[in-house]
Amino acid sequence: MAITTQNELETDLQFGPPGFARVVFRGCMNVQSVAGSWKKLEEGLRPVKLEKLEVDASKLQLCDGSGLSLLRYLGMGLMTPEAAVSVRGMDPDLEQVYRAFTLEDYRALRPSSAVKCHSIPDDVGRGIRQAAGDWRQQIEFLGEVARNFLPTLWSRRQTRWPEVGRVFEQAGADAVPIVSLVSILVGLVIAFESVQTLAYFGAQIYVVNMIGIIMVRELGPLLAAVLLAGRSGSAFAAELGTMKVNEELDALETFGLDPIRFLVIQRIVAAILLTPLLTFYSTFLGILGGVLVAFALGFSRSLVYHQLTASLHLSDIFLGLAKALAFGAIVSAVGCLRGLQTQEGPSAVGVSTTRAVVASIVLIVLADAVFAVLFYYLKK
Amino acid sequence: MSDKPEIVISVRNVKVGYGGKAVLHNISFEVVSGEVFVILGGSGSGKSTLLKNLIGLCTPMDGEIWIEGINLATAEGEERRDLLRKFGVAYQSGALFGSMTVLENVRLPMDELTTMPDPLKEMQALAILKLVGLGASAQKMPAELSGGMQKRAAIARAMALSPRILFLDEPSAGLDPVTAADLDLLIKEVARRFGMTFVVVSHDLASIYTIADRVIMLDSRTKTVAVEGRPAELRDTATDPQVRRFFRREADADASRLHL
Repeated sequence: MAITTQNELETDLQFGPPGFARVVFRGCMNVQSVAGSWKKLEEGLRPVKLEKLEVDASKLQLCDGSGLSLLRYLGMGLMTPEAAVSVRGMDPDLEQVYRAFTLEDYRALRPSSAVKCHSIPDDVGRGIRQAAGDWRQQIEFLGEVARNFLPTLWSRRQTRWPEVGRVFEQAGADAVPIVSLVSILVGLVIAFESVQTLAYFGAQIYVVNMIGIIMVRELGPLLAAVLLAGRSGSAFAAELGTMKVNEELDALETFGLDPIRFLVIQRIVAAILLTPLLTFYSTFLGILGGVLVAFALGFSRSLVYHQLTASLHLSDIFLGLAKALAFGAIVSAVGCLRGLQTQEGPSAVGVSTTRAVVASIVLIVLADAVFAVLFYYLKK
Repeated sequence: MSDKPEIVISVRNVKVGYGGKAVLHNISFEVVSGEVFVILGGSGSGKSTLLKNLIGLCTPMDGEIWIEGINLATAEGEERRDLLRKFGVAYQSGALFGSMTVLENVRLPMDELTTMPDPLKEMQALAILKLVGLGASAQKMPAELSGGMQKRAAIARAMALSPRILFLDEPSAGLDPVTAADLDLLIKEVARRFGMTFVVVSHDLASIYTIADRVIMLDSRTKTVAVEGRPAELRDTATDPQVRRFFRREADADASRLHL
């Protein structure tokens, strides 16, 4: 007897009288070998019109699940729709398994290939409904936070200050290196780019005034807030989202603890305390970056100092501070809200995190625009 | 074929653990083709750690694990990939891919690892799903399934490539008795009909008596194999008090020692 190696399957296709064919399998029918056999059968059987097909499995040494699938496919007549097919010679155990899955099962269980049609009005309606629901949830959340904010802070027992401290450290102290790098580079680059334009007017020294105003009023708060959104807003959403998926939020509620009081308020408090500090730091380093450019141009230290103090007013610093507080509240609240809104499923936490960051940044920019308008009218 | 049963897994003097700390040492056993072999032990006895080493997710700190005559630790490249395809693993939580339907989950190994033609993949996946009793749930997402169904779907996915060995991690944990009994029956049937070898990690006594041909019991105090044999024999003849308590489901402490 010829020794058959493990993956060898011989598919012998015999055509007898017109309309009759026989397939004889020899060897091992397994995951590796069915593909070759399938190709041969497709080429041999599909084009011809058959009335009768006989499948001989008696010479199979081994037949695994995939081989069984091939026998079933042939036996159900799926390759030769008009022929009467008989499969014979199967090992009794194998035959029992073979019979356990019939053509009726196959037809019943197959996924229907009907394509789902989307109607545009349907989609639009669903979208609007979803957006409206989301707005509603945001307003509800805002109300809930506002209602709980002061009472939670008042009672020392309810504000978990160690937790506030932990968030403060993670979102603040740990962010210092990245904030330093980004701020100083942004300051440097803006100063460097504008100096070239200012040089046309011989007004290079005003780069110091410019960088001072830009950093204090706009970029300092903005950079700090954007970095906070990317580092910590996302972390808030992921933390609360994971807690929700793990049913930890349900556990809190059954204890009678309100997740808003227990988890959200501490994070918002930490973020509000934190952003002014981060903002000042970011502003300072941004200005430092600009000042370095001024020094490189050969301006003296006292001149640079004079220009800076002359261009900046206390109101600018207050504006920056006000923005920082608002941005901190926005980032932390949005992060927590998205975390609490997390749905079921494996990608849910990722979705919440993305939504938190995107919504935070959009809202920060919107709030920034509102501040600009407000400040303009207040100054008049 | 010779009369001597073929050894598919051979574990020789293995020491396993995490981060330089041994959880189990001096583990040796052999699993023969077609049997249901159960690794038994209390909570924290290192069952799952041992399993992780058996399926190649971790490397033993000492000793060797041979599967189908290949050393798991030294196999590399193509040889290792071939070896990994010889066994299927059903994880404790199911570990189904949540973004795919049950049918797609079962098809995935075939899609990624074989050259099988599409109609056969579908046929195979549907037949396996019917076998585990999930035919009607083929189009559902894993999140829509109950715990027992998820476990069965995980077993279906592990069976997709018709492996020679199936590793099951706590198949009956967290299931009601009826569902657990159904699952036991399924394991028994699959082992008998397909001649598959099962290595099951479990602490469910009722299921062990039904499915196990042989068991080893891990002892969390001595950190090694306490006893090996057939479950019914162990229940009747074990002399080690811990083993006896386990098989007879007796409490470790008497009531007076509980600090109530």
